[in-house]
Amino acid sequence: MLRSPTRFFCLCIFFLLLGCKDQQKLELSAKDNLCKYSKYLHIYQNAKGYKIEISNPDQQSKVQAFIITKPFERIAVLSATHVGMLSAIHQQQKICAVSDSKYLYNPILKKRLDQNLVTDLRSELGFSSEKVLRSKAQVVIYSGFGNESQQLKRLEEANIMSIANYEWRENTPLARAEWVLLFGILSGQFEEARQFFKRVEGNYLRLQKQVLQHNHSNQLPVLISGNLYGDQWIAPAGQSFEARIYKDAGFAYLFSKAQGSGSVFKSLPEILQKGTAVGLWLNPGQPTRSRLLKQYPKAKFFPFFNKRIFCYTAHTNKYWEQVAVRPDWLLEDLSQIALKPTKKMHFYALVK
Amino acid sequence: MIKIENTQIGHQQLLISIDELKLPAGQLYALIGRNGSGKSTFLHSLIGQLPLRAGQLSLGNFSVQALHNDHLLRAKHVSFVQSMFAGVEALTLHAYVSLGRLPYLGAFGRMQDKDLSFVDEVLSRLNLTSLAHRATQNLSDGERQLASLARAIVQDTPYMILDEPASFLDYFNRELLLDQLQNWVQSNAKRTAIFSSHDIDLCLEKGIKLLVLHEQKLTLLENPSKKEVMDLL
Amino acid sequence: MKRTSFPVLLFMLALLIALSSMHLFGLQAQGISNRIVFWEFQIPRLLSAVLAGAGLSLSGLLMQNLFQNPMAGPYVLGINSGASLLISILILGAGPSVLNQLSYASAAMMGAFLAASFMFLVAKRVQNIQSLLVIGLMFASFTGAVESVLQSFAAPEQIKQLFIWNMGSLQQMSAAQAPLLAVFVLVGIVIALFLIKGLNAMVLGDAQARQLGVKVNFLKVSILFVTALLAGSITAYCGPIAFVGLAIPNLARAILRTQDHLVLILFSVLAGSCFLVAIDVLILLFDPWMSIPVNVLTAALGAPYVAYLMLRRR
Repeated sequence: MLRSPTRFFCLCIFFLLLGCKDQQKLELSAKDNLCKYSKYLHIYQNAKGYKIEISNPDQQSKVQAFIITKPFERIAVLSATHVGMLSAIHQQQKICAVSDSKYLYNPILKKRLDQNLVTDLRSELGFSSEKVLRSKAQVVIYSGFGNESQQLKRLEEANIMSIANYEWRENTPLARAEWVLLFGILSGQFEEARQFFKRVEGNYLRLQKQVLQHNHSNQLPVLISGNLYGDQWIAPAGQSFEARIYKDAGFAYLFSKAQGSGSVFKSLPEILQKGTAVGLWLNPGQPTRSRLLKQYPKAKFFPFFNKRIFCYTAHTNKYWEQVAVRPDWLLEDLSQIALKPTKKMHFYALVK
Repeated sequence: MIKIENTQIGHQQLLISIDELKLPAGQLYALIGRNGSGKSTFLHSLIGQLPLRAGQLSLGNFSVQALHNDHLLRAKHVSFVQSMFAGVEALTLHAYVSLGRLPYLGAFGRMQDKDLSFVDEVLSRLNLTSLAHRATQNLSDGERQLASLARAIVQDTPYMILDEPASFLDYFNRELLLDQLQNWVQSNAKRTAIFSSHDIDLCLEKGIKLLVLHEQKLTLLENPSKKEVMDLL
Repeated sequence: MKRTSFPVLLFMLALLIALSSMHLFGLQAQGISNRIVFWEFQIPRLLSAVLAGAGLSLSGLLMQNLFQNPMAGPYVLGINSGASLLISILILGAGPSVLNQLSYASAAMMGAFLAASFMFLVAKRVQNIQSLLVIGLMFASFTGAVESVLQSFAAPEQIKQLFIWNMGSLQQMSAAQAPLLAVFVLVGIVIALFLIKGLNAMVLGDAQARQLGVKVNFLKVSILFVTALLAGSITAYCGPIAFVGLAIPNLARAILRTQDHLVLILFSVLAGSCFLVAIDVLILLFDPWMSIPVNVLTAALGAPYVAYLMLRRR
């Protein structure tokens, strides 16, 4: 465990934190934290630079803490959301390596990829550390799954920093979007990131208020999300980011009481039984009803098959890249869906 | 009547060469020969399992080639008892013996009452009735050998070929086996049985005709003395 | 037929009827009773269990006879893998417009037949059961590797579809497919009934069966054909389902202590149906708390029994 220098460094800081608790409390009190919503990201500013703490959602005691004094010029990212966050603050030119480039949406980055200015690391989990080294990345950002891969350890040995991103574990939309601040610091554009997040936050809260007002006069349909995969219906759980945004958009979500912040698994009989109340089906994963039937011919017998269905499949890559950083757009889409769409949506389209 | 003319028998190498030999029906023949002389090979040729290298071999009206080409005809014409039957899981002795009736059964393999009573009669003749419902893999080697004989009798063919059918039997059961075989050939003039054996004394004592296999030749000896046989071997 | 077998078969039939009604009323108890749900979901699901159970255990019985080995079965010998390989070539390779349900089934049957023939040729060369099982395993991982290579060229949509199919399920078959599968399974059972004489003789080995008048080569091709028809069509509609084909025929011989294939076929068909219907009843019972994939339960119940059989053979 003590083999890698960064780990060792983290551990030192951890013991340091334990050692001088009182002093730390003074220096890093909650009100100095620049993050308002995030559960797992903490940012503190001082004269020298930014101190960042990222806590592991599964082990609260495990904290990755580091200080950024100088922005990075070459950043390797392993998830589409990271691309979305950096492009939201116009820093996509700092991306030197991406994973799964075939799912890329950002046109500038795609062009750079064609010009071989960006390395394609292919698989998010099975990338080769040599490729990262050859891309001359200074830092690797990855989606934290709780335990780091062997490749990341090797990169740390080569003095390439790796940062776990737990944005996907947040359970409110604004907390997810707030991670843009981390990308602002890494790319040296903290102020722009802050302005950007303020805009998103403002939009989101304004829309939420509008929805609340509107909802007094209007009864919205019950919403079901997800689809049947094999024998199981997989949908966002009650405390997930999606469930929260459905609530903020004024919908009654069928699984709002299902425990957990990840996914829920429901049996077919249960869906058939509870589905009779459903008036809106979101995210079935297919752009048309005929494709839905091709995937599962018996879908036509779902009680909500002939209700309105919306999915992001028309803009799948855009959705996965930008949904985390633009929750205001997602909420806007959902309130459009609630009111019967009048203008073009950001991610969603009607499933015909 | 078994007729053998200008026949050469063997796998890759020639093992036995027979110019002319006629074995009349209604008789029991014991095939005698030293180890490796080709007794099993000869028997396998007789039942059409091993093609002849040359010549003619016929059992009654049918050549071995014709029998080889028509399995059902052969099954009703010649039965074969192999030297070793290891037994099969969950197959009772009764079910095993009953398989001898298979060539005569309909598509679904159901036994009629007359088939069943035939099987019961043969079992009691061979003192196997008490073992009828034992699984064959739980019987002794000797018991299984008797069961194989029973299966061949039940098959009710004019010709019966047996490859060392007595190798696991005790003295009393050897006698029983030979008596039963003699009985079987004598009860119907069309029947012929050939079995391979090393038990020359018992065969001579029972007055069984000997087919002696030696130096690639086959010689028929009727009522020989023991010295005659030993000299040939 | 032994007289003792008849009550056993009657009991299995009664058990199947009882389990089937439990299966239907188990769903009803959860408050579902509309016509569409009944005809489009409950009935096809029950039929899947009945037909797949019957067909898989019969194909296992036939394979055990063909290989003269009680450890043979459509799953362990890679028959499913052959079906799976051709299905994945179809899902991943062919355009979506070519994909209809019948070609699914025919691809699976073709794959099953090729795999069965391949394994049969291999079995002639290796005499012991361990080597054969290892080769079956190798064959399965080889087809798995080919599938992975194919997947790297495929769209995520197709990979997802293949993944779902590979999990095995009794709930995917539609009401329209049910009669088709029923025909395949019934044809398989009827052909098998006409092979009884040969099957009974085959327990003594090829040579003895020939001596008893059986056209051994014709019988073997017939067995391969019926096995491919059964395992292939079931695998096409329900995905690969493990252990039924291996465990049930062994159970049949252990309980009935016979090698009469009329009894064994009827018992395997009934017991296989009972087994899968019972497993699906369990899945329904556990539904409110967790959803258990069918293969998890067949393995949980089948694997220990098969392991016990292996140990007992030593």
